[in-house]
Amino acid sequence: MRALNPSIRKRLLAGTILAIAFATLTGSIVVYLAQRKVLIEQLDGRLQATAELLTIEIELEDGKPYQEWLVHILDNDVRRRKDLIQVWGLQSGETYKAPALKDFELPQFHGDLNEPVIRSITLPDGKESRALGIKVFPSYDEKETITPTSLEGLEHICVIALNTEDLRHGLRELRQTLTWVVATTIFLTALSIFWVVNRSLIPIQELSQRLQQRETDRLGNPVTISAKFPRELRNLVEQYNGLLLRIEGVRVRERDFSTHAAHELRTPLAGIQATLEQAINSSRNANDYDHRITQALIISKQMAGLVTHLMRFSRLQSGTHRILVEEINLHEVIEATWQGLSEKCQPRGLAAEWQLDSASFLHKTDEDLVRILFTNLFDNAISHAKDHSNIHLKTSDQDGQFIFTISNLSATPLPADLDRLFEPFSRVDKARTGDDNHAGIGLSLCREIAKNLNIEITVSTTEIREFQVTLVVGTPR
Amino acid sequence: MRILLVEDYTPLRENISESLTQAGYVVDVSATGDEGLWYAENSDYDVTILDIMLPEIDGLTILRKLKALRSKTPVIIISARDTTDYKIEGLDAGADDYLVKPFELRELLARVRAQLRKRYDPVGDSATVSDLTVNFSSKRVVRGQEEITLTRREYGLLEYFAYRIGQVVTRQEIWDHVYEDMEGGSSNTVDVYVSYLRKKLNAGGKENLLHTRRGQGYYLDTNASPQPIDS
Repeated sequence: MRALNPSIRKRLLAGTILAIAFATLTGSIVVYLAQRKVLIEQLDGRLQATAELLTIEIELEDGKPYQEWLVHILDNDVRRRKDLIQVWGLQSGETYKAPALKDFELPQFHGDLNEPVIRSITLPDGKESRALGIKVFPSYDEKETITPTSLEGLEHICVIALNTEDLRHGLRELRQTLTWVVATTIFLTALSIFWVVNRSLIPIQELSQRLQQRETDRLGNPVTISAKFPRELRNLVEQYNGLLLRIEGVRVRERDFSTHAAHELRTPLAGIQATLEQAINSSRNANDYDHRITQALIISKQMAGLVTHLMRFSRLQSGTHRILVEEINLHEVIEATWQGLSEKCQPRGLAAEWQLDSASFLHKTDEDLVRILFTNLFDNAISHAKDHSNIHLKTSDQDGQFIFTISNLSATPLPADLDRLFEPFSRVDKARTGDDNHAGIGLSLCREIAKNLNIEITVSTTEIREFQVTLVVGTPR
Repeated sequence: MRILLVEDYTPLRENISESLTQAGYVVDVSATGDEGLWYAENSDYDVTILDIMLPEIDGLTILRKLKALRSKTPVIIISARDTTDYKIEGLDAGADDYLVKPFELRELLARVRAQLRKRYDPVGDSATVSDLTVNFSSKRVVRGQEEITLTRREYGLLEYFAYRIGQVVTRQEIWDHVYEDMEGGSSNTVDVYVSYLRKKLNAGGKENLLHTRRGQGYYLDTNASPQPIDS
C-alpha cells in the first residue's frame, strides 16, 4: 500500500493550475458559444431578410404566380453563382431553382403559413448549410382582384439555404485562438505559481534546516526567527519553542534523576568497596574483621532500603502497585507510626507538639501505604528539624475532609523550589551525609502514594520559616 | 606527606583515611565543606582529596576558593558524578585529577603518588641518591644491595626528603608534612627521628647522604651543597 506523503508544493501547484485551467476553459467555452450564437443569429437574420424579399418577389400577375426572384437572380452574375433558393408551387407542382443549385434539390420543409422555420441542413454535395423554409401565398398589388377563394391552392414553399463554410471557418479560428489563450494562460500561471510557491516555502525549508542542525544537547535553546519570517509560521515556531522547552525540562529532570540515582548508589557502593578492601588489606583479629563486615552489611542494608524505595516508587508511578483497601482510623495510624520513630527525637532534643482537633477519622484506604507515607514524613521532620526544636503535628476536620499538617524548623527551600522537592533525589541540602539514610526519594514516594490513594499533599513554608507538609484526605461534603 | 581528605560519607572517609595512613601519609579528615575549607586555607597540604557534594559548602566552591588563593596543593576530586560534563566542570574548576566512585583504594593511592611527583619535580616512581633508592609505590628502601627496614615514621621522613632531593627541609616543614597534628612532642622529636633514620641509612660505615644545615634544617643529597631553601 502506498504511503500517504502529501506535498504542500504539489498540492498548491496542482490545485492552482486546475482552478486556473477550469476558469479559463469555462471562460473560453462561454466566449466561444456566445460568439457562435451571435454568428448563427446573424446568419439566420440574413436568411430571414432574404426570405422577406423572396416572398415579395413571388407575385400574382393576372391571377397566376410569377417568380420574379428568379428573374433577378438570372440578371445578377454574383447571385447566379451563390444564391441557393428553391420554390415549390403546391397547386401547380412546379419547382423553381436558383441556377447555383444545378442538379441539387434542397429539402422541402416549412412551418405554418408565413411562419419561417430555420434548421441546419447538409447539402447534397456534403456542405453544411443553414436553411429557412416558409410557406407563403404570392404577393399581389391593388390591381389584382382577390377573393377569399382565389388564393386557394396558390401556396408556395420557399427554402433558402446559406453556405455556412465561412461561419465554420471563423468558429474554427476562434477555437484555435481560445485554445492558445487557455494553454498559454495555464502555462504562465503554472510558472508563476511554481515560483510563488517555491518562494513561500523557503522559510519552511530554512526552518527545517535550522532544526536539523540543532544539537540534541541544546534542545532548550529557542529557534530564533528574523523579522521577515512569515507571520503564518511565527505561531508554529513559538509553539515548537514551547514544546522544546518542555522537552528540555523533562530531559533535565531525567538526567538529574539518573545522576542522583548514580550518586546515591555509587557512594555507598564505594563505601562497601573501601571497607572490604581495607578488611583484606592486612591480617586482622576476629573483632576487627567482624567490625568491618558489619559496617559493609549496614551499608548494603541501607542500599537495599534505597532500592526498595526506588522500586516502590517505580511501581506506584507506573500504577502497578496493588492497593488493598480497608477501613482504618487515621489517628491511630498516625500515633502508632510516630511511636515507632519517636526514640530518634531524644538524642537531638526534639519534642513533638500535638494538636489533634479532628474527631476519630475512619477512612477506607491502603494501611501499608499510609504507614509508609507517615513514616517518611515523620522521618524527614525528625532528620531535618533543628536541634532542640519542636515538631508540630496537627489534625483538623474541614467539610468532611481530614487535614493533617506536620511542620518543623529546618533549612527551608526557596518558594520557587518547593515543587521541586517532590522530584526524586531533590533535597535542600545537596550532600549525602554518612549518618543520614535520606536519599531524597521520600517526598517523591509520598507524592506517588498520595496520588494513588487520592490524598492531596502540599509543601509550604510558614510565617516563622517552618517547613510544613499538609495532607488532605477524603472528598469534601 | 600530609593529605587533606574532605568526604561526608563516613564509611568511605574512614577507610580512605586508614588506607592513606597505612601508606605512610599524614591525613587530616573533614566531613563538611566549611571545615574542609578551613583546613585547606590554614595548612599546607601535599595533596587534597575532595568530594563534590558536601554539606554546608560544596566541593567545587572549595576548589574555586583555593585556586583564588593561588594554592598550589594538587586536588583530586572523588565523586559519584561520572559524566564527562561533570569531569570537565571539576577539572576546569582547578582540580588536578578526577576519580569516579566507586574506585579501588590502590588506584587512589597511585593517583596521590602521581600528584606528589608532579608537585615535587618529576622523579618517577622512585628516587635515587648515590646508591640509595626509595621506591614510592612499594615503600621499599634499598642501599647498595641491601634493603633497609624502616618504621612507618622513618619511611615517611625519608620519603619527604626523597621528594625534595637536594633541597633544605626545615624542621617546621617536616613537622607539618610528616607528623600528626595532635601528636605532641617538640622540634627535638624531629631531630631524634632524623638521627634514627641517618643511623639506619649509614649502617656499615656507608657515605652520609642525610646532611644537616645548621640553623636551617636537613637535606638529602650526595654532597654538602644543597639548593637554597626557597628554590
